[in-house]
Amino acid sequence: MSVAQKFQRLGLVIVLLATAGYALATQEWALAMIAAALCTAGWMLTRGGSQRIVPAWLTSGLVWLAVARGVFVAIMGELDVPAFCEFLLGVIVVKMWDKKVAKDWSQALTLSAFLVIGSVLTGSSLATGVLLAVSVPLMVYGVILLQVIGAGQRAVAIVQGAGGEAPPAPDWDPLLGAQLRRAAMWSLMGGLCLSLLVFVIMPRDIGRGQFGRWLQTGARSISGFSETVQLGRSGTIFTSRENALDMAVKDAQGKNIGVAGRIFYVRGATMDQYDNGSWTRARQWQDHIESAFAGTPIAITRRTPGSSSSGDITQEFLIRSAGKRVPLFGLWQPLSLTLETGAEVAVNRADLTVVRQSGAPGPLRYTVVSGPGTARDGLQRTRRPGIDFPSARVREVASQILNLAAVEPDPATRPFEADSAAARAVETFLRDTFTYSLDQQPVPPGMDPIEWFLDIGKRGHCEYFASAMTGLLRSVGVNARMVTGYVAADFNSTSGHYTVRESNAHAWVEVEVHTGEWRQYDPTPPTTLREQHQPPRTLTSDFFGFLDAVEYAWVDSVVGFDETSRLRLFGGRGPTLPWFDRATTAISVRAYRGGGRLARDAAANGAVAFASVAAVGFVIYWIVRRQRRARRGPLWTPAGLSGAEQARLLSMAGFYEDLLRLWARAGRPKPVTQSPLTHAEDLAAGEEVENLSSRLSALFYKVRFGQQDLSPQELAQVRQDLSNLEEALRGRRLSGDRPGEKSSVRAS
Amino acid sequence: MPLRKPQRGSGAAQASTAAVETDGAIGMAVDVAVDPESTEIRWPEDAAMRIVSRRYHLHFPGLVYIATTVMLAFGAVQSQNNLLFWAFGIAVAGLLISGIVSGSALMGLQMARLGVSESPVGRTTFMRYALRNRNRFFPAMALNIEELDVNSDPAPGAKSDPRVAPLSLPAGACELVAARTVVDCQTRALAKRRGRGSLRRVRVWTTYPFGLTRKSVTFEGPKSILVLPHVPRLKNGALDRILGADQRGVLTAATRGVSDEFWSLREYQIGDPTRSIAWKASARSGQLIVRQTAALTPVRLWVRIGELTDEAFETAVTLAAGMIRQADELGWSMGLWIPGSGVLIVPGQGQRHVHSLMRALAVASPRSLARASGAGPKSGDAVISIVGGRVSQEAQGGRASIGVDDAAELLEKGESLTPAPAVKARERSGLWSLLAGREAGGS
Repeated sequence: MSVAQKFQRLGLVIVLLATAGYALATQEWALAMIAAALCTAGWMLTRGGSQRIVPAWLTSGLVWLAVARGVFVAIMGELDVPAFCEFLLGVIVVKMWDKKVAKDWSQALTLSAFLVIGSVLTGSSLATGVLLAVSVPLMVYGVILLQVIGAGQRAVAIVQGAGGEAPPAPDWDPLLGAQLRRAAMWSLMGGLCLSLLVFVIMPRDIGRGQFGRWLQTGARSISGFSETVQLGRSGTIFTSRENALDMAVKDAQGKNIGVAGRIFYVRGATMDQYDNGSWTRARQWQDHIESAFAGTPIAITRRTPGSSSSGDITQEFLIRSAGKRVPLFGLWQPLSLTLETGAEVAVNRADLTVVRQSGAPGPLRYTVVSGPGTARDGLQRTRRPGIDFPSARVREVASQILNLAAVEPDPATRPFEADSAAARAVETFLRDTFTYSLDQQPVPPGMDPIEWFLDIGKRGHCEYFASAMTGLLRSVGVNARMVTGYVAADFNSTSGHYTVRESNAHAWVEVEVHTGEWRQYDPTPPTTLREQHQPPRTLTSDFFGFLDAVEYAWVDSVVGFDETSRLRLFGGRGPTLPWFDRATTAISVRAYRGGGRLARDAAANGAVAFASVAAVGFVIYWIVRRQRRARRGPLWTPAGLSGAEQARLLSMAGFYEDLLRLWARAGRPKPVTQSPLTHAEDLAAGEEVENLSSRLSALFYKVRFGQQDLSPQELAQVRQDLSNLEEALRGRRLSGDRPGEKSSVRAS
Repeated sequence: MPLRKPQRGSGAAQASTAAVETDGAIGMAVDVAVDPESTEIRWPEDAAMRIVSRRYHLHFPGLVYIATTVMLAFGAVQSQNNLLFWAFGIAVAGLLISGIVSGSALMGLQMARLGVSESPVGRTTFMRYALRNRNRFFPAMALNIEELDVNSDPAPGAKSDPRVAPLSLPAGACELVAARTVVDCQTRALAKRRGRGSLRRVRVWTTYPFGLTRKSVTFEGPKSILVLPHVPRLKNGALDRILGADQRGVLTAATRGVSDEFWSLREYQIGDPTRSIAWKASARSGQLIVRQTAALTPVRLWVRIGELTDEAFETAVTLAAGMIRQADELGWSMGLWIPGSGVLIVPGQGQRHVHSLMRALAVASPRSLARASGAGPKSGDAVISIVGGRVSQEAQGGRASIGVDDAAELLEKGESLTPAPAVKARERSGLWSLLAGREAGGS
């Protein structure tokens, strides 16, 4: 098997991995499978090497078509990363049907590398990361192997181009394979260390979004959860197992209180305004926009006077793929919230909801402390004039329910304390009377969905139950609001976190049972709720639980690595210096303001910095050289001469130091015990070197022992001889080194 | 220097013999003794070439890589995507490792010329080298080897002129020179025109490990080369037809040997084959007599090239080479006489003799100041004179003439006086060449 044949399979694997990465990131499985099949077919038909089975004009035409499509998409303003990946995939498929010399493979590999990068940009899941981790070593090995193949094929091209007989393709040699694997392994190890170093030291949060919307992908808004509820839609609700968030629940002592079977309601939004089947939020005017600084808690509500913090519950949230605007979930009732990365938040202290208004798309981490608190919604509790529901039929049903439960339906005469009993009565009624179903029947046109649910349908999903309860309570003057969020029921004992999926989205009700005191009620039948949200215990559940834990670790430590994590890694201070922080911030600000002079300034500053460094380097070199010379002392001390004459002779004999340096550089330093002339004759480096060395030594003798000046012709001769000797010794290592002998730059 | 083992050059393992066995390659002039049976290559210290330069060349793939790295940096900063930061780290690491590994790999490389094959025009010539990697850790891989100067002037340092160069530019590759080893590798080139020439500088370059930069080391070591003339195949019996089958020379019974020619009779001795008994003579003499045969003296053929114009002289040299080839296959003795060039080689046999004839033809010129010395054709020797124009007269007494204009008629079908290239030049496809840059076949 030749080296080129050995590469063929590896090349196909790399291309298929890149295609799989594309599928994982974009979920375009059908397209990716077609592309993979086409790539494999093309590979099988063209792996012979230099022959093409598809005419060049056809492959070129297809590529130009793909380019034209890309340009069209760009002009239409729809060119994003997934679209670019699609373009790359198309070109790769065409390329796999082309001939397969090293040049073609290098193009295919380059395109595959771009596709992997595009996939990484599109999706940050663990699977994408695993794919990257698998692809990189294979690509490194493949690229190194490709250099070997390319060298041979280039020689073939040159020789054949001249009409000569090409050398045979080199066979695969185990020795070559071992060396290649070793080179790839060391390159990978070094590359991994260096890349991690770069990964860690690169400052974050600088320059984000400076280029508009370009590359602003990588975040997916949370689905399954909604800040509004629209009733009346028919069809089956499909549940997605996509991860929405992860939550660790701890008590005041920091002990993890999560356990399998224990359910938490994670609230995200409230709705208290109903209009023809649609629930919306009426209290937006009470939102306060605040700047949340990283690590600094935001107070959401006051702790109930007299209550201790020992009952507090701390929740650590990780939203794996948060959009710019995202509700910040938490357990009832939230006292404070702390973001790990600073952002603008909208805090509503009436319904105790917090929404991040702006921030970096991607992983989001924050902590919520919940406990007994007092919410103030600004309403007077004398009676609730604003609490009402626009449906006489709903009011009628509510009255019937309360009458059956012996609770006064008229809010004018009913004491506040009876509101909780009213809520409990309605909850029980709905749980016992109605059936939970994801398969929703259509609501007749013109009919209110809640009325339809109460009178006709009698079955529905959680939003119907919560809507009905909220409507029923509000119609009899009980202050209630609908809440949407998630049910955290899937506890992962490996990671100690609740894994909350999109399918865990849920709706329930909050009722003000006393002034400022709200309590949660869930009218959905509890058995159904557990069946719906608690994962069944199966043979594979442990395995998938482990995968979830690994993915959580991946998102937490790699994808979610941010400036706070970086600083924490370096003991809270980080490796950056204050002046560096100031400078980068200034650059960021100027870039943000669109400073046109930034590039010019950067170039000018760079040039000045380079010149400064070069000047400093030269000065250091000059000083070091002088010091070395001073440390060595003079070559010898001419006796019986004045200081000026001594200096003149020493200066004249300076060429001898160059001669010694040349000998040392060539691997034959002059031993201390040997005279220059003898050493020159012993060099055994060819006649030219010996003659030049001998002549220079003789001239040195004339100066040193004869104490005579060199004539201008002799000085010119010295310069010429030194130049010739340097040229003759360039790149040579003279044999006959004498180990153990000390080199000398002193005259003997 | 510990001398280890084997080479990994392209087909270089059999380099010492491959050149001889390859069709048309007459011989390999090996300057340094290499034992073809041995797996160890001795580093020829005396033939070590001088390093004249080391260079880094940024080429197209490297520029693309740097542009991609910059884009990754922008992308990472813009999107704050951590995987992109990691990808950027990998890209930066790739650049650093590429610089370190590639620089180190070539830093300890040394080169020596081992020899150059002497091939006829139209055939492939092989240049052999020893490559030594003095580096302790880093192997040198994916090495491209290219001769930079092929001069028609044998004097070292002469200016290169590719139009009259005897060879195309030799190129080759060596997959691996492991750390602290010496390997044997080779380059190949097409022999383009006969005559002497010289090689001077060799560039060894690599894009290992990642193809981002091209690093090169240029070595200098003059070497003379010789390209033999094109050797066409003549029609079967062409020489017999030129000389005339009965005129091609006298078979002289000079000594006893094995043939059909009678030499003498003698008495039977024990051990003589019964088939050699001359029964009639035995009957006549009354005792057993055996018949002895004469040894044949091969035809002694002189090929003589007369005074010719430059163009005709080239044709004559090619024709002479073809004649020598056929005569050698027939087992004749061959001699060469070119009065104008001072060449006179008496007839002889064997590969060595053929090679000396080819070498003489390689350097022969129509007008030379040298004059031939020594004895020319003897009586009984066959002589074919190659002269200008066409010749109509028939051979007489083993002397024949052939005109250069008649040369084409002597060639076997498919042969020509000017060799056809062994392989057609590679095709170039449009778009991919554009995408890949200008380097044909570059990776």
